[in-house]
Amino acid sequence: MNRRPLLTLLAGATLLSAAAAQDARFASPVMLYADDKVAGKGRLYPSPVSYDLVRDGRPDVVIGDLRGHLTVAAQRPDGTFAAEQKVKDVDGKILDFGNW
Amino acid sequence: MSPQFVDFDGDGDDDIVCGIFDGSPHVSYWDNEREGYLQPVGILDKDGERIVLNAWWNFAESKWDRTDRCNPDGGVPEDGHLTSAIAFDYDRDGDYDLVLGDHTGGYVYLRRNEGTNRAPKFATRNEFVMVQGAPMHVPGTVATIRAVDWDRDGVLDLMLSSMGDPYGQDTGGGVAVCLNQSRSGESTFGPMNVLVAPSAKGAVGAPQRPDVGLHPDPVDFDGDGDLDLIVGGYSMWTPAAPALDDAGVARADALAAKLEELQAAYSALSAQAAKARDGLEGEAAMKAFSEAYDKLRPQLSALTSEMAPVRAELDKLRPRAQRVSFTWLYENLAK
Repeated sequence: MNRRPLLTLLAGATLLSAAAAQDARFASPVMLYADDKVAGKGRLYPSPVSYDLVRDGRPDVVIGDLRGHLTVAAQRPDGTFAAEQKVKDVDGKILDFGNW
Repeated sequence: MSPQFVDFDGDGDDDIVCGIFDGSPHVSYWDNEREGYLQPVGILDKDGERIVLNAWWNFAESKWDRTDRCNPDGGVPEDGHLTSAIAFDYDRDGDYDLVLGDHTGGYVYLRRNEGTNRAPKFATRNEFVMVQGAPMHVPGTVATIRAVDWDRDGVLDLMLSSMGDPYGQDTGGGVAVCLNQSRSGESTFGPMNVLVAPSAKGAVGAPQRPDVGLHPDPVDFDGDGDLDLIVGGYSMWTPAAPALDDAGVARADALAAKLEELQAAYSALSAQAAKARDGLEGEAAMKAFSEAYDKLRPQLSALTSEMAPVRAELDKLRPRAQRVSFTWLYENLAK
């Protein structure tokens, strides 16, 4: 492998550790619940995204994971979230990105 | 995998784009007629080849493989493994390029689309995403990337999160944003602004925050006009230990000794099964191991069953460090 002298440039690029302290604008984090369970609990590297998957005008929480599966916690009218359900494809099979 | 809902093929409905652990970006297209998602497919370059960094899962041979085929001109500072990807119109030419996150080295790459959304032609090589003349690099390596107009200037910025030391006590993951400093043409990014500091870990009693493998999404969760963060990740903490009297200490010592004895027996049996492979190779070795393991399975199961209550009682007296994944909400207090 050809390694040109990029390393000489990297000293100025390791930014996260050298950056300013955490932005103080956020409150201390709280766990996000889907029904009576913490959303994504126990999943392999849960990755949430806000999106109106059920198409009712309210943003839901969709969570992907390392296995390549997605769940959706539908937002209820009162703003809470229903229990997570696996996201399925157009044929009713579990949508599966985990093909490795 | 971090799902991104985006109209990747420009047909009016949102598809799902993400990078996965096989080392490539994938897309699940929305079927407009049948109104549902199709099973994911790999996003390929203009030559029909997989888009990768260096590490990739070789499906044909069922093994991990590596390549320099996609390296930027001049190579890379260290091998990369793509596990995150977003559609992002980097050069503002009206089509989605791909921004790729490196789980191993921590670099961020661009794969340019030389076609259109309807007929994409992704380049065959990666480019570095640059920050002030240097390749963008995330200490702790990239967990995921998000596109967001963080400073509300009408231009999409890059949010980056880090893995951190996933199991040990070294620094954990954080979240930062790089503001896009150009309003048209090629994107140019400023330095990282830390939004969630990399975790120092060490929580006692209860989980306090996501500590490693942070996966954020910026969203006005409470509808107050500013961007909050929902963040998935692993929390690491040590439950508070109860104060033990002499009898409690003695009981904990006895349980620890019993557990050690059972674990040693389990390890010895496992080694016995592994020894069956000695002198053999390939399928023969696997077969010998499998047969030996099957013979020992009842004893291994019995040991596992015996260990469980011992471990449970000991955990109450001397709690072990915990590592569990959750989803968290960081409320933005700006408004």
